[in-house]
Amino acid sequence: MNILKIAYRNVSRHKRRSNLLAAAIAFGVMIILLVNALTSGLINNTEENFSSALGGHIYIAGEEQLDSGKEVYRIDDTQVLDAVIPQFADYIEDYQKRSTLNGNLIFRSKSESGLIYGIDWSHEQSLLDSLVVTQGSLERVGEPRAVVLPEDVAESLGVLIDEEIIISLETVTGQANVGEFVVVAMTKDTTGFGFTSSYADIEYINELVGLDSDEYQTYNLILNDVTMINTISEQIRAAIEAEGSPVKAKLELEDAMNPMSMFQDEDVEPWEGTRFDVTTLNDFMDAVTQIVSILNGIAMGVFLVILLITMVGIMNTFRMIMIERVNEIGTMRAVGMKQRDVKRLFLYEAVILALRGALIGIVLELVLSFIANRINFGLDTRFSFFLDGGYLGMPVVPGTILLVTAIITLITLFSVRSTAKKAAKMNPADALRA
Amino acid sequence: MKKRLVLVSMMLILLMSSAFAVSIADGERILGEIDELSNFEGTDFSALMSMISEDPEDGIDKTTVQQFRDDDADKFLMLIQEPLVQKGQGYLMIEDNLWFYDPESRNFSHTSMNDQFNGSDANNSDFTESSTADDYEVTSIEEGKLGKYEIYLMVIEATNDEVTYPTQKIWVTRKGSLVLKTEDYSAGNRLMRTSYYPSYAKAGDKYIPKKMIFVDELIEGKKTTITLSDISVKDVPDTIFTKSYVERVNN
Repeated sequence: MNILKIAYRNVSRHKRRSNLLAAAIAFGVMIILLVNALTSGLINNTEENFSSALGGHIYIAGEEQLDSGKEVYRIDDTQVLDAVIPQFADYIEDYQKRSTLNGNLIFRSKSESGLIYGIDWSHEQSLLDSLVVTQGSLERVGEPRAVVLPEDVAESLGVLIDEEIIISLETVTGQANVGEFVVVAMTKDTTGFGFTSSYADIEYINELVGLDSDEYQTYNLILNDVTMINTISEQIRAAIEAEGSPVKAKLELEDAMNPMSMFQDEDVEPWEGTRFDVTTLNDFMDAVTQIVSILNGIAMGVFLVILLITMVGIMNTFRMIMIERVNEIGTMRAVGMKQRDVKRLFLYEAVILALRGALIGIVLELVLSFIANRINFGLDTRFSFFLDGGYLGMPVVPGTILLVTAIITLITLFSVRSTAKKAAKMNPADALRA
Repeated sequence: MKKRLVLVSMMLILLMSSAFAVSIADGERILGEIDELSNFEGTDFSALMSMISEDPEDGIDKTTVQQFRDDDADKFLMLIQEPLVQKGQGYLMIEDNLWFYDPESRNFSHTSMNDQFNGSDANNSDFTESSTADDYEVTSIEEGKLGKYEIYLMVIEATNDEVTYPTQKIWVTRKGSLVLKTEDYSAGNRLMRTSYYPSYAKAGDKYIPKKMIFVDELIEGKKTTITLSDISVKDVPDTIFTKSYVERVNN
């Protein structure tokens, strides 16, 4: 206990030197924690935004081959999913059945291509909650032929609330069709990144694309636990195959990451009935995860460089300390201090210094995160897809804080080890004479 | 006696008029003639297409396209020559497959016959072999006049759900079965496009529209005018209808 006190006193004795060392450690700790919190927030926000934009965590689509060989996107064998999905009821928080219309939105002489999701409004409260209305009202979505348009699409068409737009589209089999919609609300594109989707009632969308009113094109599942996405999706694939239906082969990661792959032709083997395609949020997140890994790698590199510089600094400083305290060490040894206590004294000083620096770094990181989390970057930025409603949403990650503190402490101890050993092995008589 | 004479005369008139009245069966025959006149069986076809697209928002675009057709083999190739930024882009059809080639990415991507050709009001299917008689059936036919031409006005409905327009109205000359005008309707029976074919050129023993005007009925003021020149029915080498040719022609 006395050694700890002496160590604390020694650290406080040379305030300037100790503070400089602590500041270097604090800077390294702050940088790594800040980047880690930023990337964690980025992943969480992107996952949430993807999930909101795509309507769930697991997406099951269906395609059929007509006699002519043409492929149409619809789930005709609904009984397959009716048999499969209940098997995973414990893992599923909610589900959504959607149809999609891809067409040309036209208002007078202006046109804009776009995607309209057919929504069962009575079953999509989470979507309604996530939409940020800038004009009109979501209370009117139940009106006949109502459509909710992204603000930028409405602006580009020059259409106002209550005005009628027409949509030129193709049915699932490829026939031309035209729909008429009344704009009831305009929404802010909180996702950015080109996810400007429009929404309308699924029954009208089905009528336009040539599906029965109770049919749909995708079955989206929202899981209780996002970490189960891959496991559940694999089990769903297997369960669909067990029901005797074909499942589309999963795109390999390297193909999914290759932007040209979407332009390349797929070798299509003929199949009977509905071929299911099971994709997940993680398929879309791979690119983001890679960016985050790169960011974390860069941050780790910076952290290691700072650590290296700090290590050298600590090593040199403690050598100087040892030289300065040769007489003091001699006196302490002469009055009965053991070799191992001298070593412990140096090591305790190093630990105090490391913990002080880490603590300052953690506090600085928490303060900066707190400030950054209160800055609204707006929804119009290019990076809004990575934000939570315009905010960074940097979380506090206790595990990382503990890990970084442990690394810093161990490295500091390692840096001081040889100096501490040398000091401990010093001959008391020689030390007193020096 | 007088009464009997009147009755017989009326019956004769009815019989004669029914003999001259145009029937659905005539309409079906006319559809067959339309296909026969515009399809190049036993010969190939090539022409230079000048395409002027008028868009109230984007202004006027001029595109020149070299067209090759081999109807016997169900093949066609459309190579964009102008504007310079699009030079080398091509649409290659081999049987049921239609690819779009982009020299920038050097990739072929599948596209649909129902899609618009190069953003114009013409569809890719407007440049292929005509199969109206197979894809449609006549639901009504009547005689009439379009300008100075005596025509049959027919309403035809698709026999399958894969053709672009489920319903069409077509104005066909009574002499020669040349299509002068068509109106294309959506699945919900809304007029989407009106096409005019004001002049024809003879190519071998076939007739091909020399000028085509496609009017978009959904976007006010949008239309595309296509004029054909350098029309030829000379043999086109089979090697032209290949992916390697499309790639090579760009080098």
